[in-house]
Amino acid sequence: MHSQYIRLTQRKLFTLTIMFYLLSGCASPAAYQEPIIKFQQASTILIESARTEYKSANRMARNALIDENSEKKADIDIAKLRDSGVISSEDLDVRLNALNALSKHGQLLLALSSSDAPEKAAEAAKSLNSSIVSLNHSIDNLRSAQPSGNIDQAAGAFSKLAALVTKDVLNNKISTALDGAINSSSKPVSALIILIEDDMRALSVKRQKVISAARVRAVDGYRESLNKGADQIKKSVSELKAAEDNWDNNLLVSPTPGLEAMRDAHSQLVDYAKSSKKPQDLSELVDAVDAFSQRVTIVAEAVKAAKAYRE
Amino acid sequence: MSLSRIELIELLGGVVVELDILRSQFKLGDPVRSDLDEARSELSFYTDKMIRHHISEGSKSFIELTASLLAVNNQLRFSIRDTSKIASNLQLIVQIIGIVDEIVKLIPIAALFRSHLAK
Repeated sequence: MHSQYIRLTQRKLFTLTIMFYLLSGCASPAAYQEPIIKFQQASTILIESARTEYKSANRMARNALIDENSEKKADIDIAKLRDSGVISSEDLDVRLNALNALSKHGQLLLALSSSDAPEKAAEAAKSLNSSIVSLNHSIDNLRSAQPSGNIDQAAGAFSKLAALVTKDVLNNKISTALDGAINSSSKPVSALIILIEDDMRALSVKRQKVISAARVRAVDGYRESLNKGADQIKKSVSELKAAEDNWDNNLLVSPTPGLEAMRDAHSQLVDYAKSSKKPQDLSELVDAVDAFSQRVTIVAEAVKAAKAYRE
Repeated sequence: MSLSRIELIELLGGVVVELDILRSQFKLGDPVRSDLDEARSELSFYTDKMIRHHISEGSKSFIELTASLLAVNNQLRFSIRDTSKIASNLQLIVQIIGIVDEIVKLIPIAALFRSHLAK
């Protein structure tokens, strides 16, 4: 009750501040601050989930190969283990660097919208700039190693946009940089999120296959244990229960709705940047960012629970 | 109607999971179980290949092959849980594997080259 009252009061204060800026004709970067803070917080959680998923993908695939071969009593060698990966090291580098740059872009938006923007923004711009250097390097590596599909184009377009924004910041054009950072980011950010979304969907299929195979192994183990002693049956029952829990839990884990909500919230940020910045425009932005934030909380809890089961 | 690369991966993943449900109903050593295990292993291998590599979704062959795959899958999904139709279901699964084998051939050779070298 008390916290609800505080939230309402905070919201009213925030709306009053925005109204003040708008009525006085000063559409300041501060008008973006609360939605950008929320957008940045939710994006950070989501980007971390995607990073974890990417990093664990090859480990999961390798372990699945070991399980499958041991079940078939088949031979294993280093080449087979290396080949079991679902994502090449060059592909992985581009994705991790793109996530890093996306996160730094969010930090820059936040810095640009804050009251002491010039100092904070310059620092954030430098940080974004160095992440772009790494991203461009990894894109070059990927292009020289294999056909790269759409990821290098999406990441490359995002990298160009980020470079332009950092230039405005370093020239101290804060309002231009903020509007530019949001406005021109529409296509590259959206394209990058869609690609990450596709990756997450593909990795989710891989995980589903691995967990499904473990269910079958658990059923086989239970069946075999029925001819053995009580201890063996007890052990197989507990393995079967764990496999089924893991399966149920995995059904809840999907970062895709979170990424869709991120795209919606980002598109509302762009619409707001382009709008005449009336209170109604802001309320639509606040609603989209709230929906994104709620969605990410659900995703983060499901990922946490699934990780606990797997471990 | 055809599929995108990611829709294809999800469709294949769905078939693999259904195959797991089906094969768990047969004991290890049962000839039907062995066939289902083999089919699962092949389909899973192809799905991983699709996950790992990029493929042109706009090519005529990709569009035609995924459309055929959808048609066979539509037949299979109505009967796959019926163990009395195991023989006809196995035929449909073999058809699916054949189509996916053709789709995998569309992956650019350069992308496959490195993994062939590893073998």
